[in-house]
Amino acid sequence: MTRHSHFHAHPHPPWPYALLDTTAHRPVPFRQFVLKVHGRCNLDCTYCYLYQGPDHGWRDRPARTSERTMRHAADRIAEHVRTHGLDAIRIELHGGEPLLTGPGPVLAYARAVREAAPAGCRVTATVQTNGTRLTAKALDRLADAGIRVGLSLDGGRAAHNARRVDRAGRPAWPAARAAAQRLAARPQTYAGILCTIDLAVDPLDVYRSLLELSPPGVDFLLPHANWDRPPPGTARRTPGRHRPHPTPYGDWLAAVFDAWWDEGRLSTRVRLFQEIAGLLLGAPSRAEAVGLSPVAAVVVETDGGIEQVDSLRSAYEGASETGLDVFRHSFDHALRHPGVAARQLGERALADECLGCPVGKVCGGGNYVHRYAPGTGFLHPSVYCADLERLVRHIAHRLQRTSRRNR
Amino acid sequence: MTLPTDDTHIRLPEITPPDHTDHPVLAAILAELRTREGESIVVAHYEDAP
Repeated sequence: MTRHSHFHAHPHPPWPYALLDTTAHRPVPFRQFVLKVHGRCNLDCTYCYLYQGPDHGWRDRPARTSERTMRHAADRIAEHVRTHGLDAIRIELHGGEPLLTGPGPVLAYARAVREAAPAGCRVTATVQTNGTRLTAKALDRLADAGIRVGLSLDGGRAAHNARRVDRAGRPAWPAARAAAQRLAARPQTYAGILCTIDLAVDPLDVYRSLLELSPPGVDFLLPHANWDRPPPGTARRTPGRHRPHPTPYGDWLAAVFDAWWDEGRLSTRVRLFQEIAGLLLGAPSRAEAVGLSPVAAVVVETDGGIEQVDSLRSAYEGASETGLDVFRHSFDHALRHPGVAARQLGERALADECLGCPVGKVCGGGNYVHRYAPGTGFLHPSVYCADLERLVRHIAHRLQRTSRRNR
Repeated sequence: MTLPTDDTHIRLPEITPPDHTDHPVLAAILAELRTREGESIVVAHYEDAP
C-alpha cells in the first residue's frame, strides 16, 4: 500500500489515494497538455461544473497566466517530450474563457511551447472557446498561427443555449452563432463543437441544428455528475449497477446515433459514437468517456500548478489538485501521482461490478469523474452506468446489422 | 429504460470489421481505425477538447 498524502492539501477519498499501489505501474507519458490561459469566464452558464460546482479553487488563482508561467510550462513540456522521445503532442488552450482578453495570450502560450519543443515534435494547438470573443480579426490571427478553434455550444438554436448566459443574464448565443458562422468559412481552423446534453431539449433538433453550423466534428458530453450529485433529471442512489433503471441520457444519445448513422453520408464526426463503434470492432479508444485506454492529459493552471483534469472539480473541493507545479516539478512527477496513475490502469481501475459486466470493456466504466462517491472514491460504476449500457447495446445492434449486410 | 435485469448479462456480439462497406459512416470509422494501426499505444484524450 502506498500513501501519497504529501501530494495534496485537501482530503482525497481512499481510492485511489490511499489504497492504490502505484509502484508496479508503468506510466504512459502525457501527450495532451491543457494550458489555462485565463482562470475567469465572461459567461455564467447555469450548469457550469467549474464555477457553479463544489470546487472554488479558481478564486485563489491568478485571473490570467503570466508570461513567466507560460515559459516554465513550455520548458517543462519540452523536457517531457525529450525525456520520452515524443514525436507529437497536443496543447489545448483553455480557461475560463481563453479569449477573454483577445487572442494575444493564446498566441503567446502556443508560441512559447512551439519554440521550446524539440525539432521533430509536432505540436497541435487548439483553443476551446465559448465563441463570444471570437471576432473576425481574432480568428484571422489564430488561423494564421495554425491554432485550431473548438466551440462550446449546447445546440444550434437560441433555445438550446438558454443556459449559456453572462453575469447579467444576457444570452451568449448571438455572438456564439456569429463565431460559428465565421468558423464554418474556415474549415482548416474549425476543430468542432462540444455540446453538453440537456434532456429538456429534443435530441434530433439539437443534432440537426448543429449540422447547420457545418462543424467537422461534434462531441456530446454527459453533464458532469456522480453518485453524490446525480445527473439532472435523475434520482440519487447508492453506487452500483442498478437494473432495470431509467436511461434518459442513453435514449437521448441513441436517437442522435440513429440520425447520424442513417444519414446516408458522413455529415460530421461524432467522437462518442465513433469511439464506441471502434471499441465494438476491437480497437482501443481515444476518448476518456469510454474504453480502457490510458488517459494522457494533464492541466497547467494559471499559477503554474500541475493538475488533473478540471472535470474532477465536479466531485469535491480540491479533487484535481496534485500539489505539484511547473516551477519545481517535472511532468514525470505528475505521472507518479495516484490520481493520474489510476487513469492509466485500464481494467485494474474498474469496480467489481464493471469487471463482471458484459459491456464493461466497451464503456470502460465510463468517464472516471462520473464514478465518484463520497467516503470511498472512484472505484464504482459510472452514475451513467445504465445509460452507457443502453447506448453501447444500441450501437452494437446497429453495427452488427450493417456489418453483416456488407460482409 | 434498460433491458430487464435478467437480460443485462447477455454478452455483446462479436463484430469483425468488414473488409469493405458501402455504409458511409462505417467506412469513415474503419478508415479512422486504420490510421491508428501503426501507433504503439493509443491514449485517451480529455473530452473537454475537440
